[in-house]
Amino acid sequence: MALHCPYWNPFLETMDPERLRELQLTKFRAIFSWAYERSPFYRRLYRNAGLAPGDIKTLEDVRRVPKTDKALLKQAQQEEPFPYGGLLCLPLTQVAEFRQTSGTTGKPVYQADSWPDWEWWSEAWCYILWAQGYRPTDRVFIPFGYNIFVAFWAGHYAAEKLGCEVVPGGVLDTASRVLKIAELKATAMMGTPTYMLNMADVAQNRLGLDPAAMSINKITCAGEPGASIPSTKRRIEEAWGAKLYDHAGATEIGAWSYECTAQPGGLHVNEGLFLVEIDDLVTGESITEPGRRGRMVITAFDRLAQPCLRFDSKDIIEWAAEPCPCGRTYRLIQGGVLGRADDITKVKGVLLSPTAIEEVVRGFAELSDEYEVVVERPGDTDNITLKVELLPEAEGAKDAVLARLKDALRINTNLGYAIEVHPYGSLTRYEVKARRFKDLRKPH
Amino acid sequence: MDAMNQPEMQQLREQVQRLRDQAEALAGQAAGFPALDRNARRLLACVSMMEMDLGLLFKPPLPDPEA
Repeated sequence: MALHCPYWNPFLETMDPERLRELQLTKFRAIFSWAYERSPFYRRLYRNAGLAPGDIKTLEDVRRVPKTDKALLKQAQQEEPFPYGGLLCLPLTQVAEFRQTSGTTGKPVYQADSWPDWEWWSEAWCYILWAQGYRPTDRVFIPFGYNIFVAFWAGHYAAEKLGCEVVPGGVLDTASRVLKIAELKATAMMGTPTYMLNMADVAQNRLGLDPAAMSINKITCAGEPGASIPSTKRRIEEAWGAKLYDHAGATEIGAWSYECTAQPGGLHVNEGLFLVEIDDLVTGESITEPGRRGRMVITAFDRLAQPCLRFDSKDIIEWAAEPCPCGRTYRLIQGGVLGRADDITKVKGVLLSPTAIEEVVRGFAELSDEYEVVVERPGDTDNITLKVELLPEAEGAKDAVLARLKDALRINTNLGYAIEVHPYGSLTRYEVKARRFKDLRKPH
Repeated sequence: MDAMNQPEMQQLREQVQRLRDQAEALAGQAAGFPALDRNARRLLACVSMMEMDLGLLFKPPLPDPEA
């Protein structure tokens, strides 16, 4: 009976790794040829590198294929046809869905998807949701304002596809969403980690409801690394009395990874649909062994209107040493997405990743879920300020909490911080992705 | 270890191929019948997903009828 199968795809997800590599090579060659033959941008890129279909004979050859990144994609979209430019591999009449990246680093990348591509999005999400225990008995509430960004659209359609009942919680405020979850006894929901915490806070402190006593038993998070940061994960699981699962994906790439119910401390790469490579941050050499961090270079094998080949996502990941007890042979990336290459910054000469601060702050039960980090350089030295909120019941222990917090930050990030305590509820609450790290040293 | 054996997989692939053939034939005959044409194309998108799930290579979507 299909419902009892622990895998969405027992053929691909448990495939012998050697066979899986062969399949990946065959699929890479197919999408390489497709992009070469159909996209002026890719053809020019590959011709300039002296490559043509037929030149890719081994997985090692894949590394000769030039990488792309967001800047290159934006540049290609200056060409015709508007608005997708030379990336488009199908006629505009076959584009069924438009989405775009957030554009936080400048002009957004526009993403064209044909109808098969849109099916592909939800199919990739089916791997995620099935692995996280979603079944037709679930009533899934999606507390998210669906819009021009790709976030959670495919989660919605995948939940439908695998037989769940889906409740779109789009144009509602947070309190209304919480009340609707309580009213309908929803069993699962999806959102960013930031918003899951925000909802729990509203339930508890504005509505007087205990979210842990409500009906939610599983939550899928995406959009931020929080669901794989142990202290944040623990906070959300305790707040909602539910299992929290992580997923990483991106507009230009697709839904490429997922945590399973074994919660192995990492994400499976969907290796039947994607090829993930890891490049050393400094030398660019390929990292195949576990435990060494690098930046992800990723290819989607089956995305046709606007393909994604060897895309440098700037996500920092590392391979896990152990296979997952769930039985999937898809490799794990340890700790999920560990950060972004362009988020890691030097402060006082020390490399700092914002996720390291989150791990510390969220480990303090006396602090609220919100915090903010500001880096400034008023003179010749960097100043780093951490703004936190103390929970009202912890006010009496303020000095002891702050002393422990300073120590923990120094041990975990090798930096000293000026800590500002703000009144509970005064820091910004975010509905989607939070922007808690503000580096004011950079010229605007 | 792979959860499904080779003969079983081959059988599934053949069945999916038959579905594709049927849906393509339907779309080919439906040029003057938008409801059938568009639904056959949607069906083909689902067939593509089954092909992908069975480890087969993608096939290009059907060209537009007016192209």
